[in-house]
Amino acid sequence: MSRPVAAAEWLRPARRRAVADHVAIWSPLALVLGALGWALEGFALALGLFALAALALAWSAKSVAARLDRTWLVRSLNAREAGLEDSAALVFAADALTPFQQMQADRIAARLATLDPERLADSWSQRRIALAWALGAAALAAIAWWQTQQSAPPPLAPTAEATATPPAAPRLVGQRVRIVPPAYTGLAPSFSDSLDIRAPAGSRIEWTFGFDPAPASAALQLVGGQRIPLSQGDDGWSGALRLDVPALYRVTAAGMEGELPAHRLEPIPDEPPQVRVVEPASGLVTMTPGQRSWRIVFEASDDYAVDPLARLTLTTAIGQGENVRFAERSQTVRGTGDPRRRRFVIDLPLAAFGLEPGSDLVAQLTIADTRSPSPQMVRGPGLILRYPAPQPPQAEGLDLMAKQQMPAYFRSQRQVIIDTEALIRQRGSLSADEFMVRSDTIGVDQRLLRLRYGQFVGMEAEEAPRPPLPTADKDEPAEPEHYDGDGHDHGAAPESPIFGSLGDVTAEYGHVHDESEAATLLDPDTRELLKKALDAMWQAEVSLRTGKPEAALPFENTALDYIKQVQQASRIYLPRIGSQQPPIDMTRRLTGKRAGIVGKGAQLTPFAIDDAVPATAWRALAQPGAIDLAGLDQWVRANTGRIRDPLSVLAAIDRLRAAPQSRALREKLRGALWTVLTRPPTTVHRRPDGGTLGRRYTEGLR
Amino acid sequence: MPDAQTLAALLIGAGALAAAVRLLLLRRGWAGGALAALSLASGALLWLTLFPPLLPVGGETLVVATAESPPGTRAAPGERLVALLEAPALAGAERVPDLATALRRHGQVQRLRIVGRGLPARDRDADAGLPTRFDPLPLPRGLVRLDPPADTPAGGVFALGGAAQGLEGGTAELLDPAGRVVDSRVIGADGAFTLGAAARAPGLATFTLRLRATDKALVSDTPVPLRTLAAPEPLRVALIGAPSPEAKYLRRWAEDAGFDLGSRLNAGAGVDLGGGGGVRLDAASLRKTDVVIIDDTALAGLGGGGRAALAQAVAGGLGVVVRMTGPASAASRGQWRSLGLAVEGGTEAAPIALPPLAADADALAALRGPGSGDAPAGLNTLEDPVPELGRWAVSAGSQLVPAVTDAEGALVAGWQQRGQGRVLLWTMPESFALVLSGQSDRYAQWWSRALSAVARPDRQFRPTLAPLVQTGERMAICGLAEGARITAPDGAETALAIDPAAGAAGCAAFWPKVAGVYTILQPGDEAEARFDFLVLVEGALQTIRAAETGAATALWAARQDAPSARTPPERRGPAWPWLLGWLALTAALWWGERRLRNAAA
Repeated sequence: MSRPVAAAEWLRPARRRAVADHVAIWSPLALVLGALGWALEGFALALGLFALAALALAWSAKSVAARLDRTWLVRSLNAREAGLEDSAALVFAADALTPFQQMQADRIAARLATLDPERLADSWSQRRIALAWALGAAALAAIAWWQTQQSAPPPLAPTAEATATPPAAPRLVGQRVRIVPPAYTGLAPSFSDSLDIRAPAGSRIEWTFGFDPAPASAALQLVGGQRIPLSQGDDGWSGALRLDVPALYRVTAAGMEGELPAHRLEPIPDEPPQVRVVEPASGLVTMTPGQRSWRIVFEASDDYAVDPLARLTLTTAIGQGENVRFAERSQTVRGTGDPRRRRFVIDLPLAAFGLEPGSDLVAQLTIADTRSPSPQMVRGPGLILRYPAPQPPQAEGLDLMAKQQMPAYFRSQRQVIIDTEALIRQRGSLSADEFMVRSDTIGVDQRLLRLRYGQFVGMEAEEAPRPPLPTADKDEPAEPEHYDGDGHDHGAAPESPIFGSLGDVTAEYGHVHDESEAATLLDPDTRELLKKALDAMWQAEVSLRTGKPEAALPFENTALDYIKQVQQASRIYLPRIGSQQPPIDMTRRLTGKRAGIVGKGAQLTPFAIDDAVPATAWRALAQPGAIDLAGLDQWVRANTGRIRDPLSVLAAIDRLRAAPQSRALREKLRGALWTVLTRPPTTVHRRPDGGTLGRRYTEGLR
Repeated sequence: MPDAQTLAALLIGAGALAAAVRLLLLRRGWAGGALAALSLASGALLWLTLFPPLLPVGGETLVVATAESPPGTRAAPGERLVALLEAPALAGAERVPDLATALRRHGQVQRLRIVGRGLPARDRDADAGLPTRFDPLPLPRGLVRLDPPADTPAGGVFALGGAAQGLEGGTAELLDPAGRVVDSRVIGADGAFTLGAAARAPGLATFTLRLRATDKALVSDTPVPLRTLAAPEPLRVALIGAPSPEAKYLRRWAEDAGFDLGSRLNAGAGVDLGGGGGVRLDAASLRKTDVVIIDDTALAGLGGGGRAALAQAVAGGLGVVVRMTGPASAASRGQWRSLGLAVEGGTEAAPIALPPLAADADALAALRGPGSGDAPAGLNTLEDPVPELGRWAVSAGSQLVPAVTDAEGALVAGWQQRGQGRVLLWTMPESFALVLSGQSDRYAQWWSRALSAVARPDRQFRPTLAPLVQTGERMAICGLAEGARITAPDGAETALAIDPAAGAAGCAAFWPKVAGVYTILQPGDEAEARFDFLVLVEGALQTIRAAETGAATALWAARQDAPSARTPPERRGPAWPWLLGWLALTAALWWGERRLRNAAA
């Protein structure tokens, strides 16, 4: 037997009522949200908010309805109708019933049929609905009231201008100035009390004026600039302007006479944002061993708002010495906090950069403000994370001598050849002994050079080389304060630096023995060349030390040849950048003539003070006479960027134009020009000679 | 020749003595003796009739009421009250036009007492010769001293000093002609302050010194004139030395400041990098040069003849700047001495303490003015590190006058006079570092001071007058020649009459009537020279003048009291009592002698 009733039918009225009740309670909220959106932004936001609220309401209503399921139905039926004998569940049971249960179910179903499903629905929650609608109505009223307060322009303020006008001429009797800053500033429109306006650059200025009696036409006249006609509306004459450059303006109307006062229009420029490093404390940070990430914190501030998105430029310099590879990558970071003062916290995982000892990681943040169009970009300070280079191994004992990084002075092979040639030329003028001594000296130089190059092929020095020449510019160390064994040892003082220890790679990083194959750092071909050079040097040395420079010369030249080949074999070529040298004049090269080598001498361009116009005017204003006010006006307009307060100068010019002979106004303009004058480089004030008396006095001085 | 008094005494004494002796010879005894005594007495009385003895006169004190005398001033017993023109109305006071008139009218007074602010300048010119008491009033509240800036070269920094009374904790502000505050100082316990700013284009500008009390209330606004002189012709400078950064930046500054610069920069082997025609050091060329800047090695390389030519040119007015590039040696000091520069030491280096560029960033911006394309405004800020500079510490006697000193007063450059010219020693070897660290204005300022001190003197028309003048005061203008005129702000022209008594100084008196800029016009050989000065409104310097009057009157009073100046009042008593006595005595003598002769007969 099929049961005559389905649960859904029983539930439908209750569900309908519950949903209606829920919607009735919460719909005022959606309305209020929509109204708020309308008040704040306009129709779009109102619609959006309302739709959002309606969706949320629908969803919550659906969930309310879903709560009323079969379990609820059974429970409420059992609770309400005692006649059902707590067996309503059997009627709506989904599964097959036992015969006994079936019998009971039929019984109950018959009783159920007499019942009205409508009775299951909850009654309206009237009090909650009333409260909700009352609150909603109050909120809507408040919004409406606020909105009317907000949008209604204040009445025209009486003007403070007191100009003597003939009775029939129109007079300015009311004024209202509304300043609408650009949207990106986030500033609310405001009303200005005075006609002197200072507002963010890019603001829209809306004027409304009342005249009495009503004129035929009215306009705003920018001093030295355009004319903005005013249009007559309901509450007066109105006009608008976008404020970009500082200017002076006058309110004029047809029929107005006399000198009208000028008012200021002064834009406040948008300052570029500022970046400050909060963490780390110093610009150069050394990486600690085992450091995995690097935390950097910037703080950016701006007068209106900082763009939350900033670009972080990361430059890596990996490698040491000449073998440094640079790589640059950038990523976008997001700032948090107050728009005017945003914090950019960046945790850089270091593993991705592949830093090696001795390499650097440079981080730099580029931020922008929200100015539109063309946001102002500012690049912050660079922060460097340095992976410290490994300390050179501690030297002990004799190696200590090789640690000295001192420039070694020794003669080059070329110098040896030049010396030898000079000695050969001077042979006639030298005594035999002297010649011998000088030849021997050159031989010593040649030997030192041979030892120097010999180190590269693993030649063990035959003896401890002693520097015959001063090996450093450093002065002799001062007499030590301590004597040996006074219990205050700094360890053995390093010996005078060994000749040729600069860049002595083998001595620094290894220990060489006379087993040349094991010690050499050069490839076999180069080593071969070097060995040939050393052989030639050896020959030259022998000849020099025995007083036969002529015999040594060919060997020296051969050695030089080989050394050049060796050097070229291992040379790194780098492109030359930077200065462009003038071509060499081959005709005068090595002639020794100096005539004309200084071109036209060092020519300097004198410091040009580009304030000749105001300086002339400043001087001219000291005396009565005509002033070129138009030229001055033009100059000030062209140089507004340099001048702190160009409007005050323009105002002074404008006032003087009306009364060119007024002494007070001339003084005023002269004072205003002082701020415009460039300070010239300090000149010299010559002293007076004191006249005849003074000259006689100084002549009498001994 | 004895004076009349002694001569009369001798003659009368001789006559009386002769008469007495004659009477004694005529009759011995008491009667003859009495008559002889009478004739001696008669002689004495005759002398006294001719020269009556000095009598103590008057004993009165003259009370002189001056400006700001307290209303209740009265003459005490034995005093007489006179009121000068400046004094307020006082009961029982006799109005006198000046002190001299009062003293003439009241010849009997023996002491003076001055009440009020003090005697005006016209009454302090002559001494009264009477002991004077003067208790100065307490100084008025406000500006009591103002030392306006001296004539400043274009672009130079100037300073003005002043003192305020009763404004401790207040501020002194210097306002530029546009009314912006360019410098500000808190007034200390002693009231003194110094303010500074930079001059711009040549001309006369009016700054304002504004005093504010502790609660920022405005106390006074005093105009301060600043005269910036234009150079009629460019300074002719010769720069000699090795090519060096110092030479480079000196050339840069000289070019910018508009000097006529010749340079000889010897790069060795006869190569001169100076360009142009080079610099010659013979007498004729040096006469056409105002300053020679030479470094010590170049000076040593000139040789004896060259240095002698230079020394001779210095005596003729040339200025020489010797620039030290290394420590001084005995030889170099000897060379300097031959130029007229006697210094010792110079072998030790010492650090230079640089004063801060300005009190704060705003003051620095005001000092530098608007930047130009060549010199951007944001050149160097206060926070930037100051360069570490050194100088060679030289010691010298009082003959070496410091031209440039550092913040601690150590000598950076000093000069010495020789003949008409001067030689300056510049001890700072690397002053160009100032330019490199963004302080080129300081570099220019210091070199300007050095060159200003030694440059060949000029004969520009520069009259001397009081720096602060207000209307209604007599002022003296000196340094004038015949034909000088003065133009008032209202266009009125006045010829200046030169006082022959002033002699070579060429002084004339002038009474400005209206406030504003006056111009002195002096016809010259080629063109008419002009000189502007500012006259302030009467009362603009009220507190300063009050303080000056008090101090000057106290000095004047002290001078009257000084024993050297006190002259005893020479007032003889009346002669008639002596004449009567002499007549009576002589009559008695005549009668006695007649009886004596009759008795003898």
